[in-house]
Amino acid sequence: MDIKEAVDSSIKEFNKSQDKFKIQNIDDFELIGQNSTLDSMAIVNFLMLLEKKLLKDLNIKINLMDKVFLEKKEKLNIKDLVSILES
Amino acid sequence: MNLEKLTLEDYEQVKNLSKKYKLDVLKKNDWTSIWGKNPFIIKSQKDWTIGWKLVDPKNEIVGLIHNIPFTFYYKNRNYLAAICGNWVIDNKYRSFALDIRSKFLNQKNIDLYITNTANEISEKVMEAFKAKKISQYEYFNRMVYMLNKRKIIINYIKKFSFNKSLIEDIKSFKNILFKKTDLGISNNFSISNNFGSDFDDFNNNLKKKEILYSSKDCEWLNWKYARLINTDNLWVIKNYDSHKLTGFLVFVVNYEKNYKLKKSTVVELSFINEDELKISEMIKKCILISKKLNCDLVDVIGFNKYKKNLFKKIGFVDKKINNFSFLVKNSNPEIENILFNNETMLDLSLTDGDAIFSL
Repeated sequence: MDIKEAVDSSIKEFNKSQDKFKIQNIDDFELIGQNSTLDSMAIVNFLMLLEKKLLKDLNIKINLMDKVFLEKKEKLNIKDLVSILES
Repeated sequence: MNLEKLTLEDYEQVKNLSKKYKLDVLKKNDWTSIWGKNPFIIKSQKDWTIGWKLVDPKNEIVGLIHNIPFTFYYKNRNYLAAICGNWVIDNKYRSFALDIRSKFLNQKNIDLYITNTANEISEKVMEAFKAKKISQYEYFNRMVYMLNKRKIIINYIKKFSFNKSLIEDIKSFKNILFKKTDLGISNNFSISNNFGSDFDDFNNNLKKKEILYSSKDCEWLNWKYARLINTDNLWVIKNYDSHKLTGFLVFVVNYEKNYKLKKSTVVELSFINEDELKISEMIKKCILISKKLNCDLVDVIGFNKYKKNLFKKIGFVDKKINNFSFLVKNSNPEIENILFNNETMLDLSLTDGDAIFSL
């Protein structure tokens, strides 16, 4: 499993876990930003799922919330998330 | 959208946004004084960011968070804490809420970040940013002493439909309904509605003890309770031994909006020596004054195991709080153990965070 696959798998798991929000697995889907359809709890839940998966499957220990919010600009889409993680 | 530093000139917009989401806001002077008269800001003369705001293209504030410095002591050393408050965001921009929180939780030279008014959402968000619940003995239990039992029970039943929690609460009400407490006092305490310079000596003595606490010196206490000083809503019960201040209890008279009850809340209880009789009598004195002020109940949130047991001996009963509410993100290893691995020694309460501004 690589980082992109961990993100894909977390998106699937997140979408299955509830009915209120749906993350589309496309590069320009806006997770955070003016056009995001997610609320803060949905973002937290998704990023926590991903953080756990990175640790369990790739042995990457990361404080994902700090990493994402310290590095992101005005918006964050799926592609940005993968590049932040790969860097 | 722009994330910018909040300024004291933003008060009106802060007030409007907070009111829209049913958050209490202090009057302009009191709000400005949180930073204008803060002892840390005055002494350090450094630039302190009072908070952050999310600004829309029309230059209107649509989200914000407050950032308030507190000084804590532990083993004779001081630690700088950032206390957050008023985290609010317009529904339209909810995905930016975490940007604001992240700004607060990632400042330079801060030892610990505190919120002690967390609701279920902010609790989860804080934990996602690696904040943790403090490991304090039964912090999740608020303790209550009923002065007007009949009114409390009637208002409580009016407010809630029957559910498991109500039935359990009624059982505990039943246990204390006919219980009589001995409120006799043999010590003479000094009572005031303000703090004098003797608190500086007291704070210097307290520093030597192995407890983590927010400053009790005169300057800090006068700042923290500024809006209540010299009013009937702030009461300071002081114990002196050989003319030296050796212990004090502070309570604040306020209203429980949900149940429409007048209450007094114990916010400070500190002493140099563990003299059980004197401490118990300070608590009893607080009950007696509260009774005279026609309060319906006295309540307490927080404090260590020793103090909690004294409250219980006098007749306070536990009432579980809906959510834990006291979370800390710690960036200083020196205080990691006392915060998260020392259940019986940790002694934090409402006074150690933003809750103190909403009483």
